[in-house]
Amino acid sequence: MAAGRADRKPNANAAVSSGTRSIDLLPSAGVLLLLLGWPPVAAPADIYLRVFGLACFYGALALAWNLVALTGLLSLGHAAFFGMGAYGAALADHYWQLPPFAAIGIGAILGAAYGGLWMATFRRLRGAAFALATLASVEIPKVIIDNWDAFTFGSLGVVGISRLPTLDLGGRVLDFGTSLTAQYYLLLLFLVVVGGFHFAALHSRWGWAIRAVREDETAAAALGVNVPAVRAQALLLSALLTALGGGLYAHLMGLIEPPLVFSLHLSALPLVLTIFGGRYRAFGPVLGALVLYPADQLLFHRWLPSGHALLYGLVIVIALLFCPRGIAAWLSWNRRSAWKSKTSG
Amino acid sequence: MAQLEPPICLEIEDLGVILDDRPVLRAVGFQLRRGEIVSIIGPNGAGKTTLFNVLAGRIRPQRGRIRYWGEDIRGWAPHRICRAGLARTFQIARPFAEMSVLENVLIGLWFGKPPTEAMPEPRRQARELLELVGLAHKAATSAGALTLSEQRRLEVARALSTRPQLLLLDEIAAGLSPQAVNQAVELILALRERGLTLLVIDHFLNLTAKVSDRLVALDQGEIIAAGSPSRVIQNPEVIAAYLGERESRGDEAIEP
Amino acid sequence: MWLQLLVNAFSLGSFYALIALGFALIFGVTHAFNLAHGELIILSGYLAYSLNVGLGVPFWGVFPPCMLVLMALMAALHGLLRLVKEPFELNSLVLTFGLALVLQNLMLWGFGADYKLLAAGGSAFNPSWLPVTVTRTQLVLIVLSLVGTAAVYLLLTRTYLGKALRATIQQREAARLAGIQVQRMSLAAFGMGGLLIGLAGPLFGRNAYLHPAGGTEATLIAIIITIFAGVGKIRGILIGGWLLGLVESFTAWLVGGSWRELVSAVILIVLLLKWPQGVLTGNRTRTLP
Repeated sequence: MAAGRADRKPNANAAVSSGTRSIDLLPSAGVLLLLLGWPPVAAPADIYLRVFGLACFYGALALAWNLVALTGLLSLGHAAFFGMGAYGAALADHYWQLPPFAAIGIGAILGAAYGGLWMATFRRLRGAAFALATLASVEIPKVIIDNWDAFTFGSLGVVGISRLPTLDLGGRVLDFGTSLTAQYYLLLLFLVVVGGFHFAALHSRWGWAIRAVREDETAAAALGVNVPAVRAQALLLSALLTALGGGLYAHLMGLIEPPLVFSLHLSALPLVLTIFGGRYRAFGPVLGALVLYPADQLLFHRWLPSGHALLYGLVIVIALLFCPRGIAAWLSWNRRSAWKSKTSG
Repeated sequence: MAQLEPPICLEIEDLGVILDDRPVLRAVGFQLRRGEIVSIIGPNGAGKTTLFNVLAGRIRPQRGRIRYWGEDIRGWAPHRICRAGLARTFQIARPFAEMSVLENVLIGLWFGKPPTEAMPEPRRQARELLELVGLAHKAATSAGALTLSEQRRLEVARALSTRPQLLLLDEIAAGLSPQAVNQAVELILALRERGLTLLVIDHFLNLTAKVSDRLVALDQGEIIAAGSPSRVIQNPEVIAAYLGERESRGDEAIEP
Repeated sequence: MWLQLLVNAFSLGSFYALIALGFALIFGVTHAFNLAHGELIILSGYLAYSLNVGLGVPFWGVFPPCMLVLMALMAALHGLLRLVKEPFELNSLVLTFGLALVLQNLMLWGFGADYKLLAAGGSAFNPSWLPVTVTRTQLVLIVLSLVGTAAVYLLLTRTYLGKALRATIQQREAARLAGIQVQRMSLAAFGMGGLLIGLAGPLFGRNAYLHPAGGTEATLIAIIITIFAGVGKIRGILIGGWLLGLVESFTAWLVGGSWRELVSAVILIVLLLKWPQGVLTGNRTRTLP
């Protein structure tokens, strides 16, 4: 018997996810209500709308990234999807003058396609090998876009990307192009959509398949779980949503360039936010985003105008050192080491 | 009076497997009829677990045929084989350590062979299975906290939860006390009563005499004897194999 | 022209081998994945720049301080990594990933984002008997890289420490049983790695531009060559370095230097696919349950 390990007794009669669903639902709803109701109540200055809007945005990206992490794979290359989504949308806008949301859709599909490529090429990779391969895979679209001046404008980037449209919903005018409030709510909506998928990945039958794959894919397969399909679903969804974010970003900022949208920082951010906020709770990564991003932008930026992003690196280092089992607590892909720490005794 | 033999559940023909450039299974072939309990015996390294891995879809054989109820399942993915009704346990238990014992069994119930009739409440079914293997009192415990022998029992419960017709049991009685072995025997017989066909790896010959209809003895990847338990156990080749006195077959290549 | 290509490749490749050597040594002995490897080289380069350009220390004089400082830093990193739990490879990878971010931003803050270069003094060599030009920088690269590699090779084969290191690389548990202090070996490996990184830094700053984000490329190169060479084979590292140098020089000649990172990335992915588990766990056999 594992020494000193208390028996865990989840409520056997509770919902599918043995009680954790309610643990997740309540705080998630709470956070959501807070995010919804705060602007009309506090009437914040523009900068706060912008910062918290982007915090929601990066929180959404972290949730999208976590879909893959939930299957037990650590990706260090999600910037590839983001960048492809951004460029897909920007170029569709530039060359075909597509309405913004359609352009964003194109970018999303492009990102998902690259995810499909990952699926096909990296299907046998795990652990450190997978992490490295994903890290390297960012370079491919980045360098191609950087050099293909004729089509993508290379390192000059794409400028003059159309603003998001103004929608008239039965009298209520939502100016997504210029109104910071409207943009805030749009980004919040993005968070809710991605959050919905993330919630399902934790608290549905599909979520149980994901969990089984994460804990021991061999055993899962022997019990009828279609491991490759589960992995593919999570990855493609994750890629699609991340690329969606990239397209949104392009239209929000108006200009993009390769080092910006394919940056290492973008690949690292979801990892940091999730480490910080907690990996198995539905709202964990969002919490990380809501705390760390404003801290970075509002506090650290003042102290270290350049190099303020070291906050994120520090979070990784500190979390890994003081988290009892580091990344292993999350990913337990290597069953034998998760084994050792449990049966020692 | 001609007795109708039960239909053939599993048919293995000329199975050949090479791993790391070494032949691990050579020309293995036998049949399994419905309702039979057949034990695979043999010394360490004979290829018993490899055989299971091939049947369950984890390893692809270089040669040979595997027919399950007449259908060629060679090359099928493990989950597909499970959903077809062929389940297996692992020699070294692989529980989902972070889930409760009950949840472990639920996974099989949810994702195993599609039920032919409307499924009653899954949790109740899971409990019944746990009762069958004697783990009902630990339903809420996290699987990683079980003792090794409890984990083995969980393996069986989990495999059963996928509603199999053919069950591969890998060394479920190794290292058990005589009392525990008897419980295992009772369990296996109870499973046959439920309509299962069983293929059992039994290296230490704990269960064999008490439970098997037939024995298949493997050594160095090939079948050296097959037939009734008493005959096979007394077969001089088999004895020599266990004593390590049989001639080594070496690594002669087998044609894929 | 072909000869010039070869000279370029030889120079670049030798340097790549040096870059990879520190990484491979550490990984072989400790199984620690140091994703901050490149950033540390850049740091050493910045240090050399400060000494050389800022304080007027002659080029040859920057090596001792750089090497010593990096050795101390790596010893500190070793201490840090001792706190990391299983799975060590993945955790050390993520930890050093975070460290790389920290270093990048620190260097950004400390040295600014503009590109810096260490002065390349002296004229180039144009031997009359070969239609090639060997710049002084290339000569320095070749000489110092090969000297460094040879030093490591001698240490690994001729000294007790070296033999103990090799034993630890091959079989950690067995080495421990044989009385080798594995922790000390880890420290030694990190220390030596630090010396090599310190050596590579000024060379990097002389050969290419120093900028805070330039480390990822060096790390990528180190990883590629280490995977290619297999654990613990210096000859493989040299060959891998030269091959990579050849591929990159050729690509640079063919389509220009800006495609370099893509080539490295593709090579790395191909290597990872060929040996999904083998290399990273140090053995080549296919593992089974």
